[in-house]
Amino acid sequence: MTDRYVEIVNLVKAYPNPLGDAVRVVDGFNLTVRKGEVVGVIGHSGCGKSTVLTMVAGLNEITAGDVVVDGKVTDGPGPDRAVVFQAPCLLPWMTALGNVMLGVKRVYPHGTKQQRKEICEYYLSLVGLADAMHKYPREMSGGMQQRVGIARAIALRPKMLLLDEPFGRLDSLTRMDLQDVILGILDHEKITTMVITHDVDEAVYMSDRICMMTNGPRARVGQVLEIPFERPRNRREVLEHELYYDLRGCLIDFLEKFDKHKHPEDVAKDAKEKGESAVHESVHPVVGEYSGDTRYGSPLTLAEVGGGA
Amino acid sequence: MLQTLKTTLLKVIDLTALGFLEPYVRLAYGEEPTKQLRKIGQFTVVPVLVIIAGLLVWATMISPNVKTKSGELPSPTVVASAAGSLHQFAIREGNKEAAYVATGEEREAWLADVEAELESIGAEVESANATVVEARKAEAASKSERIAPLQAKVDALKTAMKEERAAKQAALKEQAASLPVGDNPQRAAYLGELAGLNAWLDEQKAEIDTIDDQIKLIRDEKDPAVLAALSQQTAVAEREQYLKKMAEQLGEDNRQARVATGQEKLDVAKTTFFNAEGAAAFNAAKKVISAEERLAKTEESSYAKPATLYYQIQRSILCVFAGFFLGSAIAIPIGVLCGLSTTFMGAMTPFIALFKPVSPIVWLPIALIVASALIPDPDKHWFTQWMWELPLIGQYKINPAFMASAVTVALCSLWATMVNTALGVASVDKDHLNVAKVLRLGFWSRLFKIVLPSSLPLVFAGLRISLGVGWMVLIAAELLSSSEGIGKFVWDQFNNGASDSFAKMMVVVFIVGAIGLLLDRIMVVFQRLVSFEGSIAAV
Repeated sequence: MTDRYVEIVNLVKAYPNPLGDAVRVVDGFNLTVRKGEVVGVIGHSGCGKSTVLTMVAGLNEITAGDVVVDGKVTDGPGPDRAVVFQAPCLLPWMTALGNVMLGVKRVYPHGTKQQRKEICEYYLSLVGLADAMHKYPREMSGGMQQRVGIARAIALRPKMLLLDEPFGRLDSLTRMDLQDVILGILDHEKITTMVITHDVDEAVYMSDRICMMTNGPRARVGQVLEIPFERPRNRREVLEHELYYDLRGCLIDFLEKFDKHKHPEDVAKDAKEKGESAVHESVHPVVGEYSGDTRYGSPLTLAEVGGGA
Repeated sequence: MLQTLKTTLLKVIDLTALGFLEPYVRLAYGEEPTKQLRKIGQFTVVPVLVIIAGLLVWATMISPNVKTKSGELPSPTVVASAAGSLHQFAIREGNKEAAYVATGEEREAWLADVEAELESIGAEVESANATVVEARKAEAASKSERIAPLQAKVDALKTAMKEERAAKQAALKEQAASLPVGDNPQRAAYLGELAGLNAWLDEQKAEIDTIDDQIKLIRDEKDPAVLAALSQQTAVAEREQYLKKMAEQLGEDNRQARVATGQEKLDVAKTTFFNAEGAAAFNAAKKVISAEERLAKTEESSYAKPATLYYQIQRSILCVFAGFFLGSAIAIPIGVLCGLSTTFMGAMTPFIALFKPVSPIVWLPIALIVASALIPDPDKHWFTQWMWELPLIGQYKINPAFMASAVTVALCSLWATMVNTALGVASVDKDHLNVAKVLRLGFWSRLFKIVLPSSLPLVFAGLRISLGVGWMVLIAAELLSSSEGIGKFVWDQFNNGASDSFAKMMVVVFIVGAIGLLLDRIMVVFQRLVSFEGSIAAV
């Protein structure tokens, strides 16, 4: 059970197209996540990463396939899957505390007012906002607002935490701070997490596994890469690890092959012509094809990574 | 300490949208003096200069040139003095009201003061009358001096014309006697001569008329000295009238005095009754009862104060808020439902589209008929009676006309709020709704925690427009429904046609404008208080 805590099975998102067949933006996305694992999802912009995440969150209707969390098929959004959006999305007429409280009231309906307040204060101090609990969003910087967003999500004690490019709009220093804040919390709370990013370093630093998506339309899991670093992680140690640049190189290779303007079919053709082995069988954009291994897509071993780099 | 005062002041200025005050505060704190002085010039000096220029144009160019049957357009000074007299009227009526209920030593002292003033005013009245007589005499003398030569000229012209006409007519008659029969050309010439005589006569008459017109103009001229004397005479006469009335209110007409007389009468009636025998006892008993009733009424009576402008203003403001709250109570819930459900919006659109453009003039008679049908006799109906007993608004005597005006205000003003509320509710940020979805908030929780707070700025923008529209509609509604208020004041003045009515109506123009401005400012403050982004609403 803990090995297949979250299962995303053959997820499809299709938009109707009045001129022909429905446009399948995401087509057959398979992923299994262990309990407490942090899975990064990386891919070119527009490839459907956010579509997958919003479908998992229940904010976007699923055309076909299932999302199973802790043995239950999800139906619509719910506080068991907390989302941190790219924009902080705080309610501007509430203080930081009020914003966190909104969710806490839902999740702890039987707690006393004092208990709920203590919970909110605990999570706000966890993200380093102990001094700014009574500030309104307009009085806070973008980084502080995103911290409130993180506190609001985590205070729900979700089964799964969904991070949708949470640092996309922050400067690089704040981004590093917040990466450490989230990692610290995850090490502590062991929440199963899916983090969407287009930043290779962020993906390597934060994830236990990185799921690389092919380009849309008909996007799916292209490759899955294990990140073998121990937790808790230290940025300096990770950066100086001998495998760091190999892992990073593997990701960049993949992303370059799927350069925005190339279609996956062309990539496969190029590879064939050059006599190389195909990138990966699941890259083939055959509709309805099912790679069979829902758990890891098809994981690359470290040896392959080393060889590929 | 001083620094926090400065920030507070600046915040208040920003909140109330009184931006022109900002440079004064900054200047007081010595912040970039040249820049602040430039701003003062821009936002205070220039507008003041424009106002002065406007007043000058009004005084020198517009008012002397616009002449109507009810007199010329009042100049700024006349309007100002009309405002002063309206104020004085309100104060005097207030005094009379107080005088009626004054008792004891206070009343006696007051009465003594008034009587002393009354004595001293006698001389003033006489001198004012004498001034008027003298001014009139002087005017008549100077006018007749100017008219005399013109009149002489007219007389001379007239006599000359008469003589010449008689001579010419006689000559023509003679000529007619010797006119040969059958000589057509000669007869035609004769006709021409006669026509020439008539033309000459017309010319002469026209010349006389021009001079007559000049004389008339001089007669109609209003001598400023006479006008001043007359207004002085009126003012003194009004004051005398007021003092006399005050003396009555403090003296024999005073409530205390009337109660004492009533008591005496009751005592007499009682004595008669106790001593009466037989059938007379019945009549005597009846008299005792009626005397008792009269006394009770007198004890509760108050001075029948005529409506002063201040009272009318208060009643108008009460009416506009009654209508505004009524309209908002209808508009906001419907607007919220429209914003939440496209089906409901679709159902309401025909109604909104159809009723929105209806003019207040159409709503008012309908509202008036309904209100008067519901409350045929406000003196007996429980609702009006209950309203009149209320502590603060009881004194405004809410009647069907008031209700009809308020309903008209509501019907005309609710659309802006309704449409804006629907827009605000429908356009809640999608991200905020996603937050609600993730938290699985219930309907009410989503409505009150997310949808309503987020639409408040637009709702208040709508309320602000509604209150402005309502204020404009109200004046027209009061004017037509004769509901006591500023509109009725204008209507009364229009029908009154006294020499200062025109000026009093102009006073009302400024009062209506000032109150509208004040109401708008109040709404701006509310609008800014609910605008969570700290953004500045358009002013």
